[in-house]
Amino acid sequence: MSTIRPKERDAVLQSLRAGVVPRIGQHLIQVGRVREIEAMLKDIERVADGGTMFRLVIGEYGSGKTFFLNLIRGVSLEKKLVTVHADLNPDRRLHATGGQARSLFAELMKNISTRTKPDGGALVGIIERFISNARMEATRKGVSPEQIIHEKLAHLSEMVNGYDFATVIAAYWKGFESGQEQLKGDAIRWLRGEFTTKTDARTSLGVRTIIDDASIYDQLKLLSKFVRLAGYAGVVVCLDEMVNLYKLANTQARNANYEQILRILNDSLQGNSDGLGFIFGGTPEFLMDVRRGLYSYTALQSRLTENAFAKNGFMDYNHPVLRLASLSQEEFLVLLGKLRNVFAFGDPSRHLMPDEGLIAFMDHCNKRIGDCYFRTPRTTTTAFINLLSVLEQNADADWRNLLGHIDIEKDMGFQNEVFTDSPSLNDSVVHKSTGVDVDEFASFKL
Amino acid sequence: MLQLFGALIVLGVIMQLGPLFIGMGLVGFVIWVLVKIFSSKEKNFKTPDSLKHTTVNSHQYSSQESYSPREATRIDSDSFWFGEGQTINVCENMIPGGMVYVGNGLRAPAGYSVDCALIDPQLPINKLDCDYRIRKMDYWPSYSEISPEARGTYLKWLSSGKNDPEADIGYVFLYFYGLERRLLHDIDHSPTAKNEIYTIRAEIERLLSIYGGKGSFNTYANSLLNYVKVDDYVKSTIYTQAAPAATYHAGFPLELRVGLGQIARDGVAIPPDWALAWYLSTPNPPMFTRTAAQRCKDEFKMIFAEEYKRAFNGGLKLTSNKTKLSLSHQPASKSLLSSKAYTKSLELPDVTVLTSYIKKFAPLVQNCHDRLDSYSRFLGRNPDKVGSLDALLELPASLWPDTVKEAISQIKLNISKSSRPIEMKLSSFLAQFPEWKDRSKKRMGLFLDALSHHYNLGIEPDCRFGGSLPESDSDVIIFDVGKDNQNTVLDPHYAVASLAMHLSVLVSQVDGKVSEEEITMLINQADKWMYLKPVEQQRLKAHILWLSIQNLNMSGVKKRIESLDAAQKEMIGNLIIQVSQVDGNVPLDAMKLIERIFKLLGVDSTKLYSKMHQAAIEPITIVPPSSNGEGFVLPIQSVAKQTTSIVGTIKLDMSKVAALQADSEKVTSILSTIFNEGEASQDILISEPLYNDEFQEVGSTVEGLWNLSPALSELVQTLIGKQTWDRAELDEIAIDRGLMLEGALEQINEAAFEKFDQPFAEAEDDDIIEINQEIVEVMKE
Repeated sequence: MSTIRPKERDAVLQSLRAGVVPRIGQHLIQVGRVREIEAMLKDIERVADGGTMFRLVIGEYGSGKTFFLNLIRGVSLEKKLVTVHADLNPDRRLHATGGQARSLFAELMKNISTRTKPDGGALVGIIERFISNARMEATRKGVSPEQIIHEKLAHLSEMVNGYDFATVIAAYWKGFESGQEQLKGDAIRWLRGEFTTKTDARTSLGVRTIIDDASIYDQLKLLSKFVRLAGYAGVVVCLDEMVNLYKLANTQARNANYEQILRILNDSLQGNSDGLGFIFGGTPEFLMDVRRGLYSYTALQSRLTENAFAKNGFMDYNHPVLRLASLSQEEFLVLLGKLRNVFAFGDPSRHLMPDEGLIAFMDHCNKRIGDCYFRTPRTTTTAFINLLSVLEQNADADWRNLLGHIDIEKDMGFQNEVFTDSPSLNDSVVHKSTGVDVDEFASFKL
Repeated sequence: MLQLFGALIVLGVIMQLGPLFIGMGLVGFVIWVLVKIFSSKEKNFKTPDSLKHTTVNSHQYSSQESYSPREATRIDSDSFWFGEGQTINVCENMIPGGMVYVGNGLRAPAGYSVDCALIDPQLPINKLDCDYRIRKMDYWPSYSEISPEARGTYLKWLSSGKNDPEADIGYVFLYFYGLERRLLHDIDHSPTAKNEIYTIRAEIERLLSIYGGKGSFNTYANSLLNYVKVDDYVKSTIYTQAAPAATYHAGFPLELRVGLGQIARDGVAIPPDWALAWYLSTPNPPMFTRTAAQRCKDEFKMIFAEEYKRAFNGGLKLTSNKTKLSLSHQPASKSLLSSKAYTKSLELPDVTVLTSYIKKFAPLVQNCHDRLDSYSRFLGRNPDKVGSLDALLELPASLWPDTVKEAISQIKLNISKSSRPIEMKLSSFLAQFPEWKDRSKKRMGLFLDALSHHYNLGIEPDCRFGGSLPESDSDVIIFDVGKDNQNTVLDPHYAVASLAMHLSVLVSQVDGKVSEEEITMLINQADKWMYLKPVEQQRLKAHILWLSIQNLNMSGVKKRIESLDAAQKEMIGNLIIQVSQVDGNVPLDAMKLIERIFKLLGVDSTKLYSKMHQAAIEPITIVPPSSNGEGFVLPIQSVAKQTTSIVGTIKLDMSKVAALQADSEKVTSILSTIFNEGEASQDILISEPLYNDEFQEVGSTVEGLWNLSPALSELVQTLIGKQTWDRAELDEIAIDRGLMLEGALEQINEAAFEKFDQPFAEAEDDDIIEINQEIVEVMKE
C-alpha cells in the first residue's frame, strides 16, 4: 500500500478519536462493501452525466451508514458534483409547516460543498463562478453580463420559483457590480433560505417569494440546474438520520414527509430531475415499520419492496434500498488492521502492534462489553486509537501491559434516541413515553 | 375254487406240518364239506350277479314267520356285502346306498353266532310300527336277535336314507356294526374290502356329522376312524400340513399325536399351529383357554404364532421320549369283541404325555388372551361388526387382514416414490380400510396408534397430540413416521417447533399461497433441528405440509406463546423472519402480521426490524435448541469449520478475514483512484468542463496557466507572491482585475485539483487565505 498523507492520517485519526466519522480519508479505513460501493459509484456517475439517483441506505445503529454516506459524498465531490448534506432532526424535516423544512434547507445550503470547499460554504464560490463565466461570455459577445445571466437562467424561469431564483442571482451580480455588499449578502441569504418573510425579500431583492417549507424540493431542483450551468456536474443530496421522520408521532406530519420522499422517488425514477441525486440514511425500522416506517405509506412500500428475484443469497445492488450489514468480528479485525496501518502512515514496518495484539484487543473488548464491541464499533475504535497513541508515544510500552487498563464504554447512543415531535404534539409524546400506544387506543372501539 | 382251496390247505398242512396237524386238517375238511352243502342250497335264492347289480328279489327276501336263522357258518363276507351305490330291496324296503350285509349265516368274527350286522331277509319283520325315533332295542343289538318291530324299523331307517338326526342311536349302531366289521375284519381277507376303506370312512364321517352328538357313537366312530386313518398318517409327514382342529382340552386327536410324534422323530421345530393345537387339546392344562380362543379362532391362532415365534426364536424343537405312540380300538360290535386285539403300535414317540412343553406354552396363551380379549369382547357385544374397522381396531394391528395390509403397503410405496408425505382426503384414505361405523376421537387414536406402531405410517393432524377429530372430508397428510416410533408422547420441544411452524406458515400464507420454496425452507429447517427425535422431525415435516393447506389464523396462538421461554421466542421470531424473506419481498400485510406476532412474542419491534434487515442481507441462523432438552442455547454466528481461530472469547473465521482483506484492498484501490491519483484518474474524472462549452471557449482563447483564463492566470501569478493573504486585501486585488474573488478562487482551485490533486488557495479561517506552498514549489521549478 502506498504511503498515507499526514493530513489524511490526522483527519481520520482525530475524527475517530472524537467518535465521529472522518470527512476525508474514509477510503483508508473502508472495510469490504465492494459491491455497495461499486453500485454507488455507478449512481454517482449517472448523476454526473445528468441522470438521477435515489438510494435508501439502510443499516442498524453502528453499521456505518454515516461513514458510508460521507464516503459517497467524498466520491461525489471528486466527480465534480456539488453536495449538500444534513442530518434530519425534529427541527429539520422534508416537509413541515412550521419552518422545519426551511430549516433543513438552510442546513443543506450551509453544508453545500465542492471539491475545493469540501467542508461547506461553497455557495458563494458557485455563484461567482457562474457569474464570472457569464461575464467572460458577455465580454466576448459585447453585451452586458446581466443579459447573459438572464439568458442562461432563462430556462430556470420555467420551473417553479425559477424566475425569482434567476432574479436573485442577477441581484448578486448587481450587488457586485455596484459594490453593494448588502445586496450580495441578501441574495446569498435568500438562496440559503434565510428569509423568513416575503415582505423582507421584496424590500431587499424585489422578489415576491421566499424559500419556504413547501418549496425546498423545487429549490433543490433549481440548484441542480444552476450548478450545472455554473460548470459542475450536478448535486448530490445526502440526508442522514431519516429515522427522525419515523419518530414523528403525528401520522399526518409523518405521511406528509413520506409523500415528499415519494415525490422525490417518482421524479428520480421518471428522470424528472437532471443531475440530482438523493441518498438517505436510515435504520431498518424507518424503512420497514408497518405503522410508522416508509412501509406504512403504501405507495412507497410497493415501490421499495425488495426485488422478488433477489433471494437465496443474491442481492440486487441496483435496488433503491441498499442494505448495510452490521460489522462482523472479522470485519472489525480488518478495520483494526487498517487503523494500525493508518497510524503507521501506511508503512508496515512502523506497525505498533502485531496481529495477535489486534485479536487480544478484541478479546478484551468482548469480555468487557460483549458483542456490541464490533456491532457498534464507535467506542471500541476510539479506545483502539487511544491505545495506539500511547504505544506511539511510549516506545518502551508493551501493548500486553496496556491492554488490561483500557476501559471501554458501551455505545449506548441508540438508547438515547427518543420519540420526538413538534411541541404542539407534546400530548402524544407523553403517551409514548408512558408506553401507552395512542394508535392502539384510537383503533379500539366498542 | 373253495374246494380247491380247502384241498390245498389240507395238503399243505399234511406236507409241511406233518401228522401233528392231521386232526386240524380233518376239521377243515369237515368245514369244507359243510360249506359245500350250504352253498349249493343258497344258490337257490341268491344269484350273486343279479344281487350285486341292482335289486334283490323281494320275494326271495320276504320274511317268513316260521323262519329261524341258520347256524352261522359262513365267513365269506364279500358274498353278503353290498357295496356303496347298490340298492337292495329287503322285505319291500328299498335300501339305497348299500353298505350292509344281507343274507343269512354270516358268522361273526368273534364267536360262532351270526354277525349282528347281518340283515337276514328271511327273519320276520313287523312293518306296522316303524318309527325309528323310538328305541326298540337294548344295548349291543343284533339284527337277528331284535324284535320284528325293531327290524322293520331298522329297515325303514335304512331305506329312509340313514340321515334323520332324531333317529334312535341304536339303529345307527346296528348299521355301524357292519361298517366296523368291513373295516376291521374284511380288509384282512378281501381285496375288495381294502378298496372300500375310503368310502366307508367317508360314510362314517357322514354319520358322525349327523349323530356325532351322541357320546358313545362319537367315541366309537372316531376311534374306528382313527384306527383306520392312522395308516395314512404314518405314511406321510403330516406336520407339514395344517394342524388338526383342537379339542379344547378334550384330549388329543390322533392326528395331532402322530404329527407331534413325527415332529419329535424328525427333530424339527413345532409349527406354531401344531403347538397351539397341542395346547388347546391338552386336558387340564396349566391355564384353560377362555372364550376368546374359540370365538376368534383364526386371530387367536395368528397371535399365538406371533408370540410363539417371538418366545422361541422361530420354533421349539421336541426331543423324542420313550413312550411309544400306540393306538387301540374297542369295537362297538359285539361280533368283533375279543376276536382280536385291535391295537396298533407306531414307531413314533408319544410326546403328548409330556407336560413340560405345555407349561412353556401357557404364558404364550396368556399373552394371546390378553391381546385378544378386547377384540373378543367387542365381537361378543357387537356381533354385527365382524370385519369392520371398528373391530380391527381392537385387534393387534399385525393381525389385520391381508387386503388391508396390501392397501397400507401401497400407500407407503406412494410415499416413498414421492419421497415426501402425501396429501389426501381423510375419506379417501379410510376408503382403503373396511367400513368404520363408530369413529370417535378415542378410536381414531387407536387407529393412529396401530398405523404408526405397526406400519410406521402417520397421519397429520394427529388427534392423539391434541386437536379435534378430523372430519372425513378434511385434507390430511400421510407420512412415513420412520422406525422407533413407539413413544406416543411428543417432546415438549415439539410443541415449540410446531408452533414455530404454525406461525411461519401463517406468515407465508399472507400472499395467498405458501410457495414451494417456503415449504422447502421450513422442511429443511425441521431437518436441522437435531433436538427433535427423527420421528418428531418426520411428523413436523408432515405438519408443515398440513399447515400449508390449512386456513390458519391466530386463534390460540397467544396462549401457546405464553408458555415459551425467551430463547424459544427468539427462535420462533428468527424463523418467521427467515421464512418471510424466502420469497424475496415481504408484503405489507405480512409485515403487519409479523409485527403482531412479535408483539405476542414480546420482542421489541425495533429488534424485529433489525432482524428483518439482517435477514434481508444474509440468512440468519435459526438457533437449534440444545439437545439435552434443557432449553435453547443462545445465537452464535455460524462459523466456518476449518479456519476458525480462537483467541480467548473470540472465534474468528480466518478465511473470511482473508476474503475481507482482499475485498478491502479492492475497495481501497477503487477509491484511491478517485481520491488520490490525479494523473491516473483522467479516465473517470471530468477533466474539462465540457458541460459549459461556451464558457470553455472563453478560457481556451488564451494559452493561460492550467488552462485558466488570462485574468485568472495573472491572479495566480500574483498570489504566488505571498504565503498568506488577508481576504480584504485579496478582494481588492480581485475587484481591481474585475474578478469575483470566491468565483476566481473556486476556478483556480478546481484547476489546481486537476493539475496537482490539491487546492491552490485555502481559507484558513474566514479572513486568512493560505497559498499551497507545495504547488508554488512545483511552479518555481
